[in-house]
Amino acid sequence: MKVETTRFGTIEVNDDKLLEFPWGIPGFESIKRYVLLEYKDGPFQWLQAVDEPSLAFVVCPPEAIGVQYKIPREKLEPLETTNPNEVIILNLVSFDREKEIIRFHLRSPLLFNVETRKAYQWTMDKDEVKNCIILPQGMEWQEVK
Amino acid sequence: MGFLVLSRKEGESIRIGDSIQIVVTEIGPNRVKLGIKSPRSIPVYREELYQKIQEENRKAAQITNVVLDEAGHFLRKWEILKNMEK
Repeated sequence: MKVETTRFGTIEVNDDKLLEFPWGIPGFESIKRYVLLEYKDGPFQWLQAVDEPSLAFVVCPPEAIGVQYKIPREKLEPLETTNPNEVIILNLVSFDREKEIIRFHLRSPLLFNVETRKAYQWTMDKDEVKNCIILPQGMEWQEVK
Repeated sequence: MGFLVLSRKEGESIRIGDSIQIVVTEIGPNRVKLGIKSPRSIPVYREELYQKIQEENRKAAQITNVVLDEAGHFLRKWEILKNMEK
């Protein structure tokens, strides 16, 4: 299928590459279908909305910055799986140009079921942040104001 | 969207559609505890957290190609810093 995008023009996407967010992404609830696009040689990728040309996020696997997640079983349930090996995680990334800071949105990872290509955003509460995110040595939390 | 107000006592509940039940499990002086019975596949959020994530997502969606190109540059700088620390 042809996908219109404001950033990349019209692109051709195979139907089997589509990703479905049945509940959307908070803030963009009505947009359900996305596709991942490579950016240079990684680790960033674009998550481009299929039905909204102007909507795209930059995503990055947490491993790229040495971060690991422990996913509780019940957080896999919206993806209709019990097997953590079927799930991959990508974090949204935003960028503060003035401060030259890259922000990895660690508290709200996107979880993807690689078998069904369904996805949702895990919105972590305080306890989950403490218990389920393993930061690499030397990395500390920074409050975003 | 309409706004429906219902009075409930401790232990009572409401049902939304045929699959979601919300039980008032405890009423304190300034907070109530709610139990939510819903199909496991439906995500449940605290409203203020949901709104915060909405806001963060909207910020993240403002990124452009130019900004990402710059970000790539800073990431490399960050990696160099990280390597130097070892």
